[in-house]
Amino acid sequence: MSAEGHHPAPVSPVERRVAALQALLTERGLVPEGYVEEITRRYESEIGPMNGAKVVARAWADPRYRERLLTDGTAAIAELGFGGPEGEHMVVVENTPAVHNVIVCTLCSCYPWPVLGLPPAWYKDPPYRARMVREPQALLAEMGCPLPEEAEIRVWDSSAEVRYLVLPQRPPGTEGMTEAELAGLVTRDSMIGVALP
Amino acid sequence: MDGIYSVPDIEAHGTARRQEPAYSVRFDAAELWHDGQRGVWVHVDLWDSYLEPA
Repeated sequence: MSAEGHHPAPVSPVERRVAALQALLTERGLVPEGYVEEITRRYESEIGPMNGAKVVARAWADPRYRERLLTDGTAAIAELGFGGPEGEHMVVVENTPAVHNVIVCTLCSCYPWPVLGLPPAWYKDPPYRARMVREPQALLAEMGCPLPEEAEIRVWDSSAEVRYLVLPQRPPGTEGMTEAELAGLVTRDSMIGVALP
Repeated sequence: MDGIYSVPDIEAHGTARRQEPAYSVRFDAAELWHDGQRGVWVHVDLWDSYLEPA
């Protein structure tokens, strides 16, 4: 898995091509000035895994909300004010002591934007996409999420319009925590299914 | 069934659209791969026309 932007990389040919296309689209008036920058800013600062963490914390704290979330993910997530592109058809899959869920997009990089923001680089890389369906147990162990040999693993390939979110198990010893404190425990990777909270 | 959505293979070729049911289909990894692990399930979302009776 590649490191995520710890070192500035030289501009690649594809980045130059994207910049040229963006300049041309703006010049022709097909994309409004600043549109791409505004989308990028929103997804970098306002929309991200903190949204999903609120959903998970609510489900941990409120059993009736958890029921609604597992029955109709899109509607339950909208209750907290989250929705939009790449989140129109949400299905939430719940981890249990016997079952571990993990999400992947073998075709490209489909990912639930409203609750997790934009996907990390490794999620889009072919090795993750190929190996998560081929040898999930080995890959999860390499990513720091070893599972017991007998665990059932469900790999959800976002190959159509549904976007998945993993509801991790609530960690033991968190009974006295508030919902906000619980949200602080929920990581992006645990909602992809490649880590435990 | 996941829902009824426009088939992307048709969308990609022009302005025509066709709505079809899409299903979450579960595959046993032991059937998908020669060394597939027991207890691993791969769930793939597939449009109706991708499927044939088994």
